[in-house]
Amino acid sequence: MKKTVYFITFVLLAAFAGLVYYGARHWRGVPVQIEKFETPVLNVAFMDKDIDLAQGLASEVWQEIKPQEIKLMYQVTALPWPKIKGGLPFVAIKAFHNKEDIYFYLRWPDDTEDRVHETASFSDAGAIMFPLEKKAQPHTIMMGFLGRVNIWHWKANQDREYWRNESPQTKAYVDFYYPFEDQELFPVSKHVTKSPVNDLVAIRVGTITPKDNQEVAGKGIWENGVWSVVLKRPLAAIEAENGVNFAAGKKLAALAIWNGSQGDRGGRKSISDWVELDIK
Amino acid sequence: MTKFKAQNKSKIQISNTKALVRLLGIFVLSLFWILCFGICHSSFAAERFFEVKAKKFSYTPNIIKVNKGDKVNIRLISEDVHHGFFVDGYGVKTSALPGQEGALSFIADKSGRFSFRCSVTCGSLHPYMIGYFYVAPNNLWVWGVLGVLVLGLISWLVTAGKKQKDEKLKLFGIIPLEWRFPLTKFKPLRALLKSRWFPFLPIVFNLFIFTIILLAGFIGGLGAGNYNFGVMIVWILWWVLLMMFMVPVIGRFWCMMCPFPLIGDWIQRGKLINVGRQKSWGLNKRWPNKLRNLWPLVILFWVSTWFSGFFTVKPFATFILLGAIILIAIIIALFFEKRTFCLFVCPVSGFQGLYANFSLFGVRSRDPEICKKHVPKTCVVGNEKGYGCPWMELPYEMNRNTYCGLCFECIKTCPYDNMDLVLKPFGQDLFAERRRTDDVYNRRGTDEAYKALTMIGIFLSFFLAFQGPYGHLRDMVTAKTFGLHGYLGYLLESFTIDFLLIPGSLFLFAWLSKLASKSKDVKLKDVFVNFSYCLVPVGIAVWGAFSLGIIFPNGSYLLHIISDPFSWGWNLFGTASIPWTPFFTGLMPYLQVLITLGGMLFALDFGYKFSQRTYKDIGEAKRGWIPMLIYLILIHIFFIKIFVG
Repeated sequence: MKKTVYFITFVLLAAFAGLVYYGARHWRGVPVQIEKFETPVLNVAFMDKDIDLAQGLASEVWQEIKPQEIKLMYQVTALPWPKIKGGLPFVAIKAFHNKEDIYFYLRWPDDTEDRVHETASFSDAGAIMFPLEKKAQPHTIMMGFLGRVNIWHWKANQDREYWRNESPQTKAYVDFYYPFEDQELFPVSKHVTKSPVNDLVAIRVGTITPKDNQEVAGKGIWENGVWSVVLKRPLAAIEAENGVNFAAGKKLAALAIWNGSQGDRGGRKSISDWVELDIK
Repeated sequence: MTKFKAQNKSKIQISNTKALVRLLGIFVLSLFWILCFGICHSSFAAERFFEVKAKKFSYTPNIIKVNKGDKVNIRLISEDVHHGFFVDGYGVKTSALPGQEGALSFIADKSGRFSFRCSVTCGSLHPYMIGYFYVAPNNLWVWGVLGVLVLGLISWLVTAGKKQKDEKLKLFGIIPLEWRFPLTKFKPLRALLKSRWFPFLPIVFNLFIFTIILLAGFIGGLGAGNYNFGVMIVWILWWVLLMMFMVPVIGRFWCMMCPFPLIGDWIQRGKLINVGRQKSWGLNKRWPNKLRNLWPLVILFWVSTWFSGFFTVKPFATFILLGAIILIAIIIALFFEKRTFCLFVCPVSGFQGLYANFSLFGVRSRDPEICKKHVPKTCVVGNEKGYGCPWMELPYEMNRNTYCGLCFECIKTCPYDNMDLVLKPFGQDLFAERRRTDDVYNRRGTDEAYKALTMIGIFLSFFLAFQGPYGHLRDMVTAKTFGLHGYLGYLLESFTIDFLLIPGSLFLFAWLSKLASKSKDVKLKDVFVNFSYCLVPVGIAVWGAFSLGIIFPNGSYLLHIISDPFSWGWNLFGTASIPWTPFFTGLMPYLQVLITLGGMLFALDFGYKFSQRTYKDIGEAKRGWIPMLIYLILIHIFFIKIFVG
């Protein structure tokens, strides 16, 4: 009798322990192998070079630097998603500094050159985001998600206005564009583009604010279905509190790309996870 | 001698008059305070703006105070996931996604304390994401306190006028406490209770429900707790029915149809329905004498509350808890005799047993003389009609419900139909002396006292963590804030409240009672234990009021889960798409106050009776009652504060 009771007890305990083990492994669904994400590292080495963006992107300078390919994913917050989910697979990035300025070079494929922003058509764009907090949020979604960030937002339509001096006389502006603007002493409605790149701060979605000092310069060229964009800024920001400072060492950055012909604008974009800049 | 008696009598009268004047003075002062409170809180209407940040599972600020007539503007910001903001009583709501604020404007035209709660399922503790919204003046709180004071004053006036001890105990001086009405006089009911299919069929029905509950916990656990059949049926429906209806009215009604001991019974008896072995199969050991009381259940129930932050909200945790209870019930049945598990191990058995003494129903012998002559006592040893009492009671002289599981085996086995299911006044058993003739204990004990006290302590811990506005407490319960240290902090807080503060407060007033009574004979322990029984209706009332805060806001989830029990997207009865719809949340605070005052009414009535029982003469009883009356007034003001203040 005793042996039987102990045997039944043992079987019951083992069965229940097995059930609990199985349940604990499966209570959030069938377990999947999760690959550990490794933050890609981008070397930002010193090069005694200077690039005059008015002359072009200086491809000969960039040829000396090995690109780092950064994986992109399509955002999941804003609906609708594009029919072909996934957006761009990657963006190639290079960077260097000359002790005064820091340069970033972004290159990504895009079948169409979208340089006009008007009703139902959107401009291509690219951006780099830098966390301003010492401890960055674990993910790059939602403008740093409650941590302050500095964003350099290059826009193809703005690039066109700035470098080609082409006025944005599109349908989108028709309702508020003042036709006698040029005859006025002070601008009335015309937006004067000071740079193709917007230098911004944000603390979460809906808080994007242009900085008082727009410090970032940039230029983009579309050739043979590929965008090449160079961004340039002094290593030290004028607004130390709202601009990222590039001292030697490690720094995080994240990338975002908008494909205008796909309907990307605002929150609809392809984004990367954090990239670690190793500034020499 | 006569002169001495007369002098003594006049001294008592003078002292009574003085006490009356003092008490009336306190009452007038209280009214004055209440008036001042009302005046201080009256002000002009204004427009008020609040930015409320929502984060799992709390709001910042967690308490919003406005005045009646104010226009309230809420800007809701979510700091993590989609959160909602619903105001009880007002029925207005908004929600916010991360980065997309919610806005709400309304006129605060109802005064009082209202909870605001999350209206969008945001995680496991979503049903308990609560903040408080105060609209001054809080009249309900004032009226509640006034109600407590008035009840206390009436109680004092009634008892102060007593010249001698009550010869017969009567509930509220109206219904004799020994009154009983045998319901089994009705033949269909007796036939039902004598049938071996009863309570087997309700148990089988329950077994079916619990099988779904376990399956929902095990394989349907992907849904949030509020959308899971197991979590909702057990912790919302069952718990509320248990605390609001079964225990206070029918006693151990749940034990009658509980499916957990079914497998153990089957193993022991060899048969499920008909009568099998009288002697339990297995090792058939006797539970140790030192543990044949409520102490194991006091500790086990308290220990089970350690995990309340998990098993009340997480389906798989519910599965583990219920599965473990079933497993332990079977193993205990293999090692120990009869229903040892139900008597001394089941965590929910203790409070059901103690609180069942308050209930309206019980199984009692009709004519003790018949039982005396009846040999052998078939209700104890069993016969071909049924088993000897599985709960190891001596049914023929049973006078308390604590250890009676309403299995009705004694009704089945009695050849003289001398056992009845009786209707009796509330609280009759609390005054019956404990009589466990098969046991070494034959007295009221600290085990029952501590059961009554810890139940109030656990209510407090639960209320603060799950119905209070304190997000950090919810995080501590689930080990989120400060990790293990936070969790241990919660356990320490729970231990301090349950085993030190609440018992300590009663002990202090028991000591004052003994001091005031000037009795030299009575032991302090007896005062402490006797008065602890008047906390039984208090406990039932506060748990009932607490349960309203569970069912009214969350009851509508039940409609969803009956149509989609496994969170697989089913819609069996067409109710799966009914959205979360809280009901009676405006009425809830009023009902909570009423229930609390109802509990106090019983506590006051029982308290004075226990005072008479504790002290040897009327003078001692009246003097000894005053500190306990003050104690009951104070704790009820505290409870009113907890619910609506």
